[in-house]
Amino acid sequence: MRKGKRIHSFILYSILFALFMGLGLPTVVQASESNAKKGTAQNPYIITTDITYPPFEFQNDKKEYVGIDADIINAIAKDQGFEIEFRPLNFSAGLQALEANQVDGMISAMSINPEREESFDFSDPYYEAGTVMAISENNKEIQSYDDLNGKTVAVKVGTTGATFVEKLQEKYSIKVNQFEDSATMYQDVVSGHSDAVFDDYPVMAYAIQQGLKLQLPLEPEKGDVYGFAVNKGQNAELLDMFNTGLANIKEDGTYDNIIDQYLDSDEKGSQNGFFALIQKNWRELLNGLSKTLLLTVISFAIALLFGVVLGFFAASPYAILRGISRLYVTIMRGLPMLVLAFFIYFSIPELLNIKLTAFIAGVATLTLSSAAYISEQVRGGIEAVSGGQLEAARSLGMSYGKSMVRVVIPQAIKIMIPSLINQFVITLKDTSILSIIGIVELTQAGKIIIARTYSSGSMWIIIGLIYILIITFLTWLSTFIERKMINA
Amino acid sequence: MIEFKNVNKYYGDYHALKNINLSFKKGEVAVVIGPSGSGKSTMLRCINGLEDINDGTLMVNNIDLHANDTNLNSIRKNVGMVFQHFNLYPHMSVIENVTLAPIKVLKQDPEKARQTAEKLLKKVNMLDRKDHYPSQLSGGQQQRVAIARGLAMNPSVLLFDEPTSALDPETIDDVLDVMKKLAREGMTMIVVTHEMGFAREVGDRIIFMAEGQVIEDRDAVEFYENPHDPRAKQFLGKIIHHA
Ligand SMILES: Nc1ncnc2c1ncn2[C@@H]1O[C@H](COP(=O)(O)OP(=O)(O)OP(=O)(O)O)[C@@H](O)[C@H]1O
Ligand SMILES: [Mg+2]
Repeated sequence: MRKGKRIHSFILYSILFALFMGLGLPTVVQASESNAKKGTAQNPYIITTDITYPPFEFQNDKKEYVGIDADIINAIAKDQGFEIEFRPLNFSAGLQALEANQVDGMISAMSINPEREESFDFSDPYYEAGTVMAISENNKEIQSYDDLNGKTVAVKVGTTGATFVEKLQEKYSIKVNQFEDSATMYQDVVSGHSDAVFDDYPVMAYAIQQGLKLQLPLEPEKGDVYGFAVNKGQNAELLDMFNTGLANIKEDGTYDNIIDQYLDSDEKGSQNGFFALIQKNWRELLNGLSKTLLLTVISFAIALLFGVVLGFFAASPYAILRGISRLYVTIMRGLPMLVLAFFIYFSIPELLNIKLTAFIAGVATLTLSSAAYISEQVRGGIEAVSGGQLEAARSLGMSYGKSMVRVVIPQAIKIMIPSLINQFVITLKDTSILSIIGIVELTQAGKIIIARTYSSGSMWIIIGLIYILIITFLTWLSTFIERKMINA
Repeated sequence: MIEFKNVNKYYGDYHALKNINLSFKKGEVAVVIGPSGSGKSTMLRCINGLEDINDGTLMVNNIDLHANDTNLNSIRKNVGMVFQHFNLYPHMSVIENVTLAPIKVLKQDPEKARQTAEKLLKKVNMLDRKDHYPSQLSGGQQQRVAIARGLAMNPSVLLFDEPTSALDPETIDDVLDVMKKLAREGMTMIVVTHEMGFAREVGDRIIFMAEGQVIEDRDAVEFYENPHDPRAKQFLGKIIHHA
């Protein structure tokens, strides 16, 4: 039992270590307070935008912020002669930063509405974004809303587009497919599952410009207007400069150039080819892959320890230990991994009032589930080494522990190696499920690239190939090691 | 040195040993026979604690096996067992099979354990195969190694559970010869076997079991020539026809 205790504390330390590594909280950067004149190179206006929301703001290959929002505010700053600095934050964090005066202004495809006008002062509208319908590039049939009768339409849950289609349904018989993200929704039309899709005009126009194989047969509907915002009663000077500058760039054509650059489908880029996709995104793919491998290795290592302990319980002569092991395996077998992941990531923090990073939750999910299967393999391995071996050792006066360590386990390990390798591969594949809680492993990396490039077709082939390659390589490697071990 | 007093043993509801009374003396060679399922193995396995008894007393070297504070490992050091299927450790060489328990249990110096093992392997005629693995040996050879393994603990009694019944006929005699040699050297042995030649040659007594009971317990030659119980008569007739 001394050995057992050591294994327990090892697991405990590993978990604590992992928690410690994972909980590194993002540091909060305070906007520097200064009385010097605003808008100079030394003391620029701090402008927040969303982290990535193409075509309004996103990072280009050179890691600079570009897009309609970014380009407009840059052009205005140049026109009015002030300096700005971008502080990208996700949308809701940006709103809070603006309210707390941590930033001076916000340009983030923000619709002007009465509630927001209570907290913020808005500029003149700089863009109107309405819902628009798109159909497949080769579709000649649908030229008006009337043609949608009897057709299938894709919408994104909770968007203006979805509401618009609901209204159309009062007039026409339309079947609706619901989606959570734009890229998947567009792909549904490209691959012919749906006949049409409704989404915000700029987002869709940009996607088409990026090579998405859709077309827009109709003009956009009237929709929300976007404005630049400052905190209520603050930075009035900045707001004035924005309005004047906006008028100026509209007049001298800069504004139209910016819009056309992102939305004009005549300047359609070529659909990203296979190799172009890899070439442009290999860094992200590689990061995703290393996250996948890291998750697999950490989880499998802990699961191995845990699973071996449980396997010994299952093969032990003590009914209580066997019961514990059987209960555990029964629970884990009965739980789909997706549900387990949600349980750990959402329920545990709420029930125990603790913080869990997605990575820790992911490791815990994989560990708990693999441990159950490993314990079954360990039990099977021990039982396959015939009872006669244990009896022979015990009949010579060797203790249960010594008999297991010297006689049963060395034989059981050889039997178990192939199924453990198999379990490792399964664990590696199961990491892809963890994309659901936002861990950017290989699958999630693929989803993110697709959200930007609208290239599900090629991207899933690339992701699939990477999995096959890495698993084939690992299997080959482990068979090699296995052979060495057995021959040794 | 071994004493069964009113021993009963159950597997669940099944009454496997019924009121067994037996005693074995030092240096004695007892042969146990009886039909399949009569409880021979069970009786043997009780002696080195592989099975626990339900009531009665079983004393081995003056230690009560059924008592709560009995350390079975220390009993087993003195009670060797040879199994029908040898049960050699397949991942260890012959010499490692023999030295493992002396090193790990008796804490013998490995070098000394090796010397003892070689002496014993010589006795069972297996010294030339000491670096082989069990899978490279015939059944009879494996069984002789298993005997050497049992002897290495220097036990006060050696139990055999049908040591030759899984062997090819041509290798049986090699094993029986080794067992006879041990018997003549004065080893205490309890042997479950149907080899009547062995029983007559070195057996001091024959114990006939049926349905969990000891039916006859007499001098070997006497029993062989004149079994009392009809079941014993019938059984003897059967195995001799087979021989
Ligand atoms: N672990 C066990 N659980 C339940 N019943 C058992 C167990 N071991 C033996 N038995 C039963 O006890 C009875 C006696 O078994 P035992 O192995 O002692 O017979 P045996 O005389 O050695 O027979 P054989 O000549 O076939 O080896 C048999 O009916 C057997 O089915
Ligand atoms: Mg038997």
